Amino acid sequence: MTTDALGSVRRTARGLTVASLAVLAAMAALAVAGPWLGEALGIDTTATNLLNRSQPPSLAHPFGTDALGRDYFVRVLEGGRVSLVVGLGGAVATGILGTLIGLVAGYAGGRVDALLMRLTDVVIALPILPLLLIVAAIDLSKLGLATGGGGDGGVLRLVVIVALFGWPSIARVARAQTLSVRRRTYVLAAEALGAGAGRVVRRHVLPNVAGPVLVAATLNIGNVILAESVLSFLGLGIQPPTPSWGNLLSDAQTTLAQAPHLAVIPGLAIFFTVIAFNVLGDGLQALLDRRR
Amino acid sequence: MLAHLLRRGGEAVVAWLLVSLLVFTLVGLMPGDPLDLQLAADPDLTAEDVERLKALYGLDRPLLARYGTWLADAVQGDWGFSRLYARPVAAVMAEPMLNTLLLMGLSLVVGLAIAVPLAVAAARRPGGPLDVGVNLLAFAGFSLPSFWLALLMILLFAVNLGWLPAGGVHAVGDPGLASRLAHLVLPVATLSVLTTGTYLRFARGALLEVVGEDFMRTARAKGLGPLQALVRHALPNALLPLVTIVALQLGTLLSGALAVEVVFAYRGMGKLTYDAILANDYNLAMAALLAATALTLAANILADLVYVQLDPRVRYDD
Repeated sequence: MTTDALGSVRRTARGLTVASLAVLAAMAALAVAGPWLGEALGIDTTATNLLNRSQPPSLAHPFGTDALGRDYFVRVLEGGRVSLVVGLGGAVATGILGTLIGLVAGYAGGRVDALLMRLTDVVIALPILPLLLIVAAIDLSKLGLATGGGGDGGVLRLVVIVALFGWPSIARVARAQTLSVRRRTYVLAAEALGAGAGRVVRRHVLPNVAGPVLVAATLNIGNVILAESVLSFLGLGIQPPTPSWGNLLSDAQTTLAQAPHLAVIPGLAIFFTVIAFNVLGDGLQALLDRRR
Repeated sequence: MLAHLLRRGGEAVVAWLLVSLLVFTLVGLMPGDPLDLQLAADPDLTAEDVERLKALYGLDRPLLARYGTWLADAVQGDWGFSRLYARPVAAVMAEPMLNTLLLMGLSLVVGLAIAVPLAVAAARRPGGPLDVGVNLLAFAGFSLPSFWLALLMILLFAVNLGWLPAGGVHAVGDPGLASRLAHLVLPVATLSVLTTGTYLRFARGALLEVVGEDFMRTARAKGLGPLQALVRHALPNALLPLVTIVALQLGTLLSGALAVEVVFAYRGMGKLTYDAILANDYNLAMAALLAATALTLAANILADLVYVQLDPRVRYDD
């Protein structure tokens, strides 16, 4: 490829990355400001109004009202907050678990590495959604765990589930990075000076692993948001009355013909958020590749 | 080569066994158990009856012992009885299995048929308007929630336009080919958006990797046009990683198929699994999940084999 064409690719890529950052910033701001915005507009988020059900978008209700007459604009913003928290929380949890496994595999090498990488291959090949459904359906009280769950509608539970199956992509990246610095002179020097494995990994390996893992984790956020939405849509994710983009769509399915806006809006929100995270991750990847 | 195949096969069997143990444990942890429903259906059952039924079904035995029994029966072809459908599991699964393979196979083919030519067209001018458009299309394809796209398809083509049926495998009382095909259009179209996006991304990436190679300049120097050079020299090299991607993405495709099947009420393995999980049908859920696992594991080994056939440079001499 000519340098000219390459420059053109880079310029568009940079433009897209900036645009995706702007979309995400707007989404995050709206999600954080949601309840406050509802108050400012004089909208009670919990007030049902059976005379005002499934109304199309209007001046008083920019996104219309849902099947119980609640303002949909604020519902979608609140749902966005839950979906974004699950997305970010799930990606962070996945990142931590994956990094740990990748570091151990890459640094220890030998049998530990072989075993962990076989496990990684298997988990990657699994049909994830059916398994997520089963894990999401299990009754924690049968394990002797508290089922209280607080009032979050199952956010923590989803984060844990997502991390349990999402770590392999991160682990692969972390392991590859670890292997690439494992025999560098400064790592060997640190070991020769008597530094323990923990210290070497923390001080000399982890900083090299961080960048690529960050990129992989960013690309993962979109997947986590998609996983949340589909699980909630199927009734096994975030439980109502806590709204999430996924369970809003689940409710909208029943009134698809009468109130299509209820199905269109949360889906668009998911789509733009996920595509923005993917484009952002791709842009970060390009940035990282160029620095090498 | 044979040694490699045996090793991969052995690993897959071990992996499958581990997954089956995991799923067996998880299924037992789902809320309620088979006895709860009998209990609810018949108020005359006494505590002694429950104990007797538990012993009858073997539910009083430890988990590993029950797993052992299940496994021994399963490898002999006895997958148990589906409570939901009141038929043997194997009989329940036969038709949905075909339906799902049809749905996935068509989506895979449609995805490749759109993605590969588009990627080639985009690679003619990397960074050009077409390339940027194709790249965005790829991102859009795999960033769409498939179940939402399914809802939109129903809204547009079934509710508003009334062109195509909203769901099912065929019209009630009309299992003919025309009816089946009409019911396949929307699910396949939905799932194909997902496959197109995914394949497009990797095909474009793979092509961009090779368009800068020396052999491409040689091809142009010996007089091939830009398109000819791409199709004859860049494409074969780019297709290699695509084989692996298609196989690796089969699990994702299966997941996508589940959501699409549920929305379109398409009686495939995904919907069957979902219904079985919701209805506490232990045997059916187990069998459906493990069939899906076996499929993806087998596809990965198959990809390995195909890869060797396609690329003479690859040898498994271990």
